Amino acid sequence: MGIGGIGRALMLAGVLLVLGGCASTRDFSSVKKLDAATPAAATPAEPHVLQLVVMPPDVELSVLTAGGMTEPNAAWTQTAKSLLVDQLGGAEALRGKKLVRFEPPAAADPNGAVLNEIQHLHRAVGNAIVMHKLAVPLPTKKDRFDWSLGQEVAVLHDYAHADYALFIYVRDSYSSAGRIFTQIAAAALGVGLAGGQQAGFATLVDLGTGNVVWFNFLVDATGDLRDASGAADTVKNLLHGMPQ
Amino acid sequence: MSTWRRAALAMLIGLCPATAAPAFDALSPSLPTNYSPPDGDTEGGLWMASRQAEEEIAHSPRRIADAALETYLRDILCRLAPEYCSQIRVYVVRTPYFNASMMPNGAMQVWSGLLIRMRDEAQLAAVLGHEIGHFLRRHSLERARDLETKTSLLTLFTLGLGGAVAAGGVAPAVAQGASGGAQLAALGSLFAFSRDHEAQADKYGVQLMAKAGYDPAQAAAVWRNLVDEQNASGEKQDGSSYFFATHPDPASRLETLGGYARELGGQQTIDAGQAHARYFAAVGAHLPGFFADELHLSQPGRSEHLFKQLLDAKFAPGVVNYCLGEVSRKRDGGKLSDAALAYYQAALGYPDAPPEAHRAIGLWKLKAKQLDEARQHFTAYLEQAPQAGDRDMIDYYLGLTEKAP
Repeated sequence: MGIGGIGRALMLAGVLLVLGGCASTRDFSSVKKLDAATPAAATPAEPHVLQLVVMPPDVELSVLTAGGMTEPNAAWTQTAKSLLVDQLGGAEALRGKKLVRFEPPAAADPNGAVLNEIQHLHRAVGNAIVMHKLAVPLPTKKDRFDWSLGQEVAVLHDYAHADYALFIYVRDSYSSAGRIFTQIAAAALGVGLAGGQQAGFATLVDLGTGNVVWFNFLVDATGDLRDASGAADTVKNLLHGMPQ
Repeated sequence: MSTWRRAALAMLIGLCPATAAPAFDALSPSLPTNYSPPDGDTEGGLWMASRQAEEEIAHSPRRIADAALETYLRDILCRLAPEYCSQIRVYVVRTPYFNASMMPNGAMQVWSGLLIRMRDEAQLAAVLGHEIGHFLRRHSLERARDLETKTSLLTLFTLGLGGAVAAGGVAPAVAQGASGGAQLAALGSLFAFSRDHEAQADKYGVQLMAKAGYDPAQAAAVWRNLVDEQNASGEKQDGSSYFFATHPDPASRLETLGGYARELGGQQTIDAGQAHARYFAAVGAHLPGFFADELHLSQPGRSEHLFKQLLDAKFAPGVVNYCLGEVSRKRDGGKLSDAALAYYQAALGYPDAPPEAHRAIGLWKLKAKQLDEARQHFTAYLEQAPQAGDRDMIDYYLGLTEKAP
């Protein structure tokens, strides 16, 4: 464990974005409006209701120790996952769409491996967007937003019968008592030490093409996923600006 | 005691097996049986991270999902630590380097490069026993706690120095030096801690394999093989063996492991012949693929040593001879030398010879204008590998063999 390249990019982007300590988001989109991935389904008499599959949130909550290490906490993570799923179900930004919850594939499902890999791929692509669009923008990505999870999402399209997939990734840390003590001690000496922080992103993927149609990066020094109201705020922030 | 004196004493002990060996101070587990940690603490967090990593390995395309091979490895693990059998899961991953690792939650990874470097089941048991040693002593947890303590102390120490400077008690340059020293000390002790764990896992591994009825001397043999392979590679520093990086110096390790084996002695109750047959039955079907991975690494010195060892151990002689031919051919820049030809021909003397041996000899014969023989070998290749991707190419060569010289 420890902080790998991805974690560093996330922290760097966080440092660039966080000003004044409250929630801050940056979003990018490649479409203005969401359309059905399978237009054949829509007729003028019966307009197609957009179907959106909500992927299991990729979340990890941890304790920030006095020395600045993050130590994953299983109990908090478990709570945060179920709170996030609950809050996503009633989110304002998702109103008017038919939400499908992603159920893990059966062990014998021949597409099980691909469905799993798509979720890991989202983690990699999302972190690449943070790195190359936000933290250290690549010249070739400056004026365009053209990331994709690739054609293989067709498997997810067929599995969940959805037009779009919503992915959530959050890494959230909370200062331990020791960290708070060192922060205060450092502040007395005029040195600013970072405390716990919430950083994450929401990604909307067109299951017809695999393209990332919308991406929202969130960093929040006060976000808290350990209770329902904190989770509601986090979901609101994560879905802020999502195209309809 | 000075170093040379200690070395001389060690040599004396080594030379005189009659000398009473010191009693083996057996290790006991710190992990309770059927244990899972509470979700809220450090260990719970480690297990959660392990579960995620395990999930990824379980679904990885690199995993070799061969139920028979996994069962075979699990059987060895259960023989080594019967009380913990239900807590251990094993995954074989196709990666051509020597390594096995254990996660805090009992999920073990065994790399394919390790499976072609074991000569028999006892050697495999030595490596698996070492990994169980880490598991039973909860080394991951100790390391996580140690890391937390040291980084925290370091931060507090640095802050304390800052306070002393601010109060005018310590000159800034002195404080800077002290802070750097503390960081170095912390870093050094982190590595030392890891080496202590490795030494302990080594000892635990030998203890478990001896108790299970394996020959404990095979633990040292594993390392001797690796050291020999390293020497044969001609590489100065080992870049490819992940084990060497944080593990104790191989020479002293050999010595220590040999010492444990002598102390333990014990009854070797596992039939070596049967164990060898079991091992070969479990990994045999995968050997051609694993060997191909080894060849792709383009490390002729290392590969040649390995394959010659496997030849001595009578492991899949047809495939191994073919691989030695390939190593020889690649080393000579793709030219077909007599040495390579001899290996390919030797391969054909065994029932497990790969069809590619015929292709290689066919090419050699074509070049030497021995057209009849070339034709025979190319024809045999296409008969044995009708789906060969280079069929068109071989048909073209067959055409060449029919033209009158």
